[in-house]
Amino acid sequence: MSERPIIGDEPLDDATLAGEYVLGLLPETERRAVERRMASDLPFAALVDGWANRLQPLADAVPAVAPPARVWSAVGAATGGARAGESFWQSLAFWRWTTVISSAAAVAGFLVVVSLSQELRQGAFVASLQAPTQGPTFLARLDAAGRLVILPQAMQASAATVPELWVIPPDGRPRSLGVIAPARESEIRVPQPLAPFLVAEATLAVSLEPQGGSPTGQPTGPVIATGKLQKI
Amino acid sequence: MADDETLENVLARVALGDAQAFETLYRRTSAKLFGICLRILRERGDAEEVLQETYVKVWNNAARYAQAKASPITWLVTIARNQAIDRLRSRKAPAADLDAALDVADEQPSPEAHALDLRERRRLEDCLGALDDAGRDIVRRAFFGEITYERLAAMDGLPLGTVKSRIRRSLVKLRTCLEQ
Repeated sequence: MSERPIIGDEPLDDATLAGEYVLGLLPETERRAVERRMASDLPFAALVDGWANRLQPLADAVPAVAPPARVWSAVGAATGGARAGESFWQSLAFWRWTTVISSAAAVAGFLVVVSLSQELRQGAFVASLQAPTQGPTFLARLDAAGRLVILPQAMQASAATVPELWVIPPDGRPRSLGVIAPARESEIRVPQPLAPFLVAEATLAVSLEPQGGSPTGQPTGPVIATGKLQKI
Repeated sequence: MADDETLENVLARVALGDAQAFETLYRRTSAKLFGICLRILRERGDAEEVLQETYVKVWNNAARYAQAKASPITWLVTIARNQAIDRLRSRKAPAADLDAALDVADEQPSPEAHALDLRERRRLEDCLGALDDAGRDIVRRAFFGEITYERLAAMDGLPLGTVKSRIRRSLVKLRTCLEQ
């Protein structure tokens, strides 16, 4: 270390590196390196978030400017399903499409099983489901046999509502994995048609639903936690 | 028009692919983010494109917000700032005049403008005030993409190491103060 001649290039602490990143002082390659590290190093990512939080008043001092309407049109076009004024949970087209997919999945059951075991056979997955304002509220583990165990960490039990677990595939439409227990471990046999959706990076979410589960087949209550499946 | 719904909730619904929630999010936050994009890029065409990229990214990555340790508006501003700074760095032409860009802007107050605790703002002001003039100026300008280590070294005709050393000292001082 002592042979390093350059003053100021001494190894620097993570908190300062996080600050340099948030302030955009770093060159391109180092910026990308920091972003890669944030994806896997949660304590470091928290340092970056800490700087962003503390410097936020600088952003708040900038006057707001209404963007022209064409920006929202372009966003809608680029995001496909996110059409102005229509939730696809409510759209008729969606319900029709779901029905088509369900029957197609039933017909193609055999193929689905084959593609599922490809990914699942390679190992197990875990997910930490978090609420916006607190740490992990559910931990989930999915084993190679398609058995999903979900464990509540900190959940307020309520007589009126029950937690329901959903998987959100890349198409963005939640599929129910069933109602789970609020205060103890639940075990779910992943239904065959849903198994192909349970892959690395798939999003799991828990919403609060009336007793017996969502009456519509889609989330109706608030989402209390989300997280992604990670391969272990 | 559930504008009393918290942005946390709106973002959670966006993470579930709720298009209506996404529109609500855009309506409540796009003017603020567009202001930031304009401040950094100083050119309306670029700012519009970056704003669009920002919301596409938000739509695709909303589920990741659950893991962030930031308020929703800070999380959104961070995405917009990063997109804008990346655009700025990839651009070769010098920035246009900020006043010209803002002159044609239809300014309106941000609905989220009061979201931040005044004490936080006061604390940042105090801690920036405790830095020397150069350090304070660098932090303020760097936040809007105006400065990199390399540019600063070239401008001041100083070795990169000297510039880094000086700014890092300011950052350590600022962080220590902000955490008290």
